[in-house]
Amino acid sequence: MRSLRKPSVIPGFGLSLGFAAFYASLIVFIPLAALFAKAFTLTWAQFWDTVLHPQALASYRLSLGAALIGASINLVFGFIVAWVLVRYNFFGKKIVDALVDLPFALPTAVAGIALTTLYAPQGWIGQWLTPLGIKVAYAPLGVVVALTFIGLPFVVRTVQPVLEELEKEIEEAAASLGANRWHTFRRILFPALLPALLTGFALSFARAVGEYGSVVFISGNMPFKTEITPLLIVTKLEQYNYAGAAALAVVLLVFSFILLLLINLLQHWSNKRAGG
Amino acid sequence: MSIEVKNIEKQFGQFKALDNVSLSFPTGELVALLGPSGCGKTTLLRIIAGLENPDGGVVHFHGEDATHVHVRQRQVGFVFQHYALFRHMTVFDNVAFGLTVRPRGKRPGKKEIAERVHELLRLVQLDWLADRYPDQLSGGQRQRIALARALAVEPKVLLLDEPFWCTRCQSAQRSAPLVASSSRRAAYHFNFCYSRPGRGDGSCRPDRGVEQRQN
Amino acid sequence: MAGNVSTLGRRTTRINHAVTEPLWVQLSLITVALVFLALFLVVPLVAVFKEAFSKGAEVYFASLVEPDAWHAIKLTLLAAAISVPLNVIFGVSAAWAITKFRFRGKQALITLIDLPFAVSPVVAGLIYVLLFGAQGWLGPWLADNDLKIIFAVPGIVLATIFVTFPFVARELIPLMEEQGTSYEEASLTLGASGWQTFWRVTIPSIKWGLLYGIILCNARAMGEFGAVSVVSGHIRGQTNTLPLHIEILYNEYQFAASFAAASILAGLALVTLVVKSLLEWQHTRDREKAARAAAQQS
Repeated sequence: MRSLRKPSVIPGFGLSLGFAAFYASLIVFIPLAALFAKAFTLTWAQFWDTVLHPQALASYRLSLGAALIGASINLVFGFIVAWVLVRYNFFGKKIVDALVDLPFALPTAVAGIALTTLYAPQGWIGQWLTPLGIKVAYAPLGVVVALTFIGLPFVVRTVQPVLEELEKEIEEAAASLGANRWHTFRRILFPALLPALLTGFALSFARAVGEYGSVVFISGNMPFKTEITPLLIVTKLEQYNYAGAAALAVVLLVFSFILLLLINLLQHWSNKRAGG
Repeated sequence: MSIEVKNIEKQFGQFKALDNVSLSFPTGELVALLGPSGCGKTTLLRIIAGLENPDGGVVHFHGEDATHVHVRQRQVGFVFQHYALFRHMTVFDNVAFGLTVRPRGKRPGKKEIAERVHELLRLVQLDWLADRYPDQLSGGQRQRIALARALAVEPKVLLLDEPFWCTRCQSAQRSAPLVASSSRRAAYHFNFCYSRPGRGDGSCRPDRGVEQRQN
Repeated sequence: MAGNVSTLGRRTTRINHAVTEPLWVQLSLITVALVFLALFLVVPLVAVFKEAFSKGAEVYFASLVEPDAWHAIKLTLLAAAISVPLNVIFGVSAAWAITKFRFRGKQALITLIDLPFAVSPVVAGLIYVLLFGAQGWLGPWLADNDLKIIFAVPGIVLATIFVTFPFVARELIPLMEEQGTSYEEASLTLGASGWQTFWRVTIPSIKWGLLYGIILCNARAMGEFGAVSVVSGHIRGQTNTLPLHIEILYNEYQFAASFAAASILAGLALVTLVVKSLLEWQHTRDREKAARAAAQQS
């Protein structure tokens, strides 16, 4: 039998891998396994009853729908932000660039109360929307706003490096062949950026589906109307319905894993594009 | 110190890098290992240095089996193809590194280390660069620093991996005879350098060329 | 999944005016981008500080030195002080094993490292409740031995470790991959021991990337809400971290006090962004220096 490791003179293999594997198992692997074990203490019928309950279905609809809309908003505006940051020069560009990461750095609870205050009927932004009949805070639209905020950096940060790597000569070649700017963009640039755009979209979406902190403040948390799936899990937990919470968590996890797989495939595709 | 390798085998995945290679190098000889790229020159050097374990065969230093002696104990100076100078250390600290990591009992004093380092830097004619960082040096200068660093620990064997790969830089050309003379002056018994074929580095005349063929 | 896209050092901006858009297109795109960012980033940030001082500086400072707030700050610092170093040790050893060796199961380990980014914070909290809670697998045993993890500080620390688990490793793996093994090999041929090589060669060469990972890890550790909320039990003056304290005050309509607490975390976020940007600029300069040196060589 061949050994686990290819021989090397560099020391510390056993220690570093041993500790890393031990720690990862303890913190991530065993607890996640416990979750699946708990969910399957339910019978199949109970499991399906829980995860297909109308209240659960309504929460998936809201979570996925709002995440999808938020990610789409980020796809469009994130692309514009990345484009502007890479291609144009303007005053304060470095600060703007640094600020893009704010949603990664700002705790979600802080974002949640800030957005709620802004979009409440008397808030800075809400007061202009209320007369128009638009309700943001304590409505599904509020969930969209929160999920847009927390997913904002992803598209920018995946598109930006790819855009920087693109060779200007390709565009110049297109221009010299008589293509106008719009044609060059649509036929040359856009296809090259598509994998990165989709990766950013998927990352933003994945983050939004599981988001909790920023949403609970702005959504109003009404069952069937503005209750996201993570909140429903917390509710079940507070009712000491551990197995029910675990069942919903499994649904959320499986969904996240599928997304993670998709993102890895996208990145693989993206790297291959960039490499070729 | 004489070196003998016998029946060395090394395989990377499906690729057989070394197939039953046997060579012997008598004490004090300057040898160039020649051969087309990909024929396992670097691998053989790394096996002699102890950086790579052979799948089969033995390495003898001065008649003694050194196949399983750890790289730390082999007393082999190795100049890497891209020099591997520590970027966060000054030239001085790079050259001094091998002396400062010795166990407390065998470690020379601060003053002694400084003297030794400056002596080596003078030998490679770069004493004036002691406070610079590797990023601030040219390719040829880096190579000479890497050489000084390898000599600092007084190795029994000096191995240079593709020392003249950057033939376009003047400085490397100049360092070629330096390798030969400095190591002789420093009274090393054995030198072992190697280079690629067809390059005009005739300035470093090996005592003997060993051709290594593609398998 | 933040780590996937926040890898240190990627910017080298170059602007070539040979191929570009008409000025009016440029200006409108810049305007759209800036309005979007202002609306979503700047306005909320300003709102935090404005609301925090809405009742004056006196109320602001009073709400921060109040015992519950003070305790929440201390607990937040404690949780970060435990979880960040542990994740640093993990990140360094995982990156060492993954980048310096080839072994079977490497891909599985990498996937495992990424996993917490894909898990909802609520689920992150839930898994520990299922393990250590009163009805959890180890609950009865813990109760017999008079140990408390859930609704206590250890649970908060565990949840924080989970959500910040990937940050350092994710930052170091690409960096150390790029550096290869020749520095370590050079150090070994010069007679250094494994630990000497690690402390004197490896650590200094990854210090900026490490610092970058620590900064991101710390920001998340101090700001985590969802996961901590599930395991904490919200016991005032005992298991409330700063983000949870914000929630409680907010739900009690003590807006000024709530935003005062929030302003501390917002300040921390700004400091994080500044340090992060400085590190990135430093890295870009380093890169350019190395590139120039390499260009000289050939």
